[in-house]
Amino acid sequence: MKKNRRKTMVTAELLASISLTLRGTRITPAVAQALAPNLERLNNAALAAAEESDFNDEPARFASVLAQLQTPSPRR
Amino acid sequence: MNDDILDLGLTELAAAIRKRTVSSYEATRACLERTERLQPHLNCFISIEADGALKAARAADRALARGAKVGLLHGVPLAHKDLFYRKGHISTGGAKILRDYRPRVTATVIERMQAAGAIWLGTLNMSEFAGNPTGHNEHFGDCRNAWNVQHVSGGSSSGSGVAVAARLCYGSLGSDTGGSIRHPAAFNGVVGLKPTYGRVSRFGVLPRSWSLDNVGPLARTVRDCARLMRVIAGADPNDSTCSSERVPDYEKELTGNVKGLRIGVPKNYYYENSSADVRRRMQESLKALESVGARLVELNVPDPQRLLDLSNVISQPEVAAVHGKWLRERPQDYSIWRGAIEPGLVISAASYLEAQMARPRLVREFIDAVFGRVDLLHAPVYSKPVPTIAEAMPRSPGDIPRVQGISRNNRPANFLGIPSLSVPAGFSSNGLPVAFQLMGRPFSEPLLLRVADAYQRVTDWHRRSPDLSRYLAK
Repeated sequence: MKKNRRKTMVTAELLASISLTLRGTRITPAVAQALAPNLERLNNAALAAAEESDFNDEPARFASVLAQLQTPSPRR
Repeated sequence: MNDDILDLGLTELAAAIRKRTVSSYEATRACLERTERLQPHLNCFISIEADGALKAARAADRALARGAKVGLLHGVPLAHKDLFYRKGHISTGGAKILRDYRPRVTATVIERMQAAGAIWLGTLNMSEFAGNPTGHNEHFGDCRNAWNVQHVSGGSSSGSGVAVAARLCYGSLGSDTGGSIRHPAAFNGVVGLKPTYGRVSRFGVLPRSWSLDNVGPLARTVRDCARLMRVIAGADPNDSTCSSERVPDYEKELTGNVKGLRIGVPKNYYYENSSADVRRRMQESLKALESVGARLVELNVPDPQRLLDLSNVISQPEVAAVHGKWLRERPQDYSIWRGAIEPGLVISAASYLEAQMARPRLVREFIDAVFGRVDLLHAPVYSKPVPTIAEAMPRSPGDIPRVQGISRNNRPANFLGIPSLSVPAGFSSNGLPVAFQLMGRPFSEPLLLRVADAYQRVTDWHRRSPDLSRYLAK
């Protein structure tokens, strides 16, 4: 069963503040306003993916998965 | 005579040069003369290196005359996106910030091109920092579609698609983080291959997003792409993400035999908001594939929108990291497309890594669900007619996601790391090219090329060339 995606809220103010405080880069209020909804969607996509992941999932496995999947998996 | 030479495909020209029925000098000069007349209208080159190209072509002809052993691209004039480094030569990345940048290394793929005997005509226009799917570039001027200069070229390898379509070079290298080879190939009616992640070295290539970047060829025919892939693919000690899988002889795989192969036709996602004329071209291409023996299988694929979102969670922080210093120190030197980089500043490291953690699992799920049932997946590269330059220009940073929607059918393959081949499939109602893409399992480039070559044996879209006579008239 699919779990409900957790909701986070990304506001323009938060976004501009993080960018300036942590990255030293100023984002104008208009740009921050435009970016906020998209970032909220991406953030939630990452959270939803994480809920389905296992703590042993290792990002570097990507290359070996590509190599393994070049031929069909044996039927289980 | 020039036109006859320019009508040859890459492999045909390579054979003619080898037989000495055409000289490399003649072919190179023909490309340069045509470029001189069309560049003011198409703006597909950033630099043209005529003297060096002609000198190299003469040397190539002399080598043949003395019976030297020559490479697969001996004497063939090519030009590449301006992000492949050559030690000591300017490589702009289509950006004002890099206008004078001289890298200290040469890209592995360029070394391989040189070793195979290719002639370097110049560097090709591209979207600023490989960052937009349209080919807009306010620093070097917009690259214009070879079929109608009012329309976008497609990006980010804009000059590559246009120069090949306009017969200004015989093939080109591009890079693809979310469709940047396939858009310009599709929009200009040429073939473009985004290979499996790691199939081709990225060493010495301006990065956009390390986890999603791919280098690949654009050329007029599938066979020409196969030749270029043979030259550039394979392990590279300078790129730890480059695969050591054996490199097949891609041309030998072009047998024309596709009997019984199952081609998947997605019922979800890829045709959302598509136009009727593009759907017709897709149906016609499927019928052509069926006529040569393929079987069509309709199926639902695991949600590509989710893969697209996660590809952005990965690419945006990587892009922001590449650009961090410039964003702080030279924000005014970017175009409006800086707005495509800034979101990455505020995606957390944990979110980025969560997307990376999920990637191997989602790749396995997609491949098992799709390529457990079919051999290939067929879908439009872009499901609407190619827009005009004005229509596709973002009106503000907030309008960037609308324009980035052009790449929605292409980004999932980058997240998955699978190969995707863009193949010309006719024209839409506005007279601009339409293309389908074939996607397959990792390292299935030989199969993709075989099926697309079989398609090109029974169609002639790849032989059509844009009418540029009005610009060529003296």
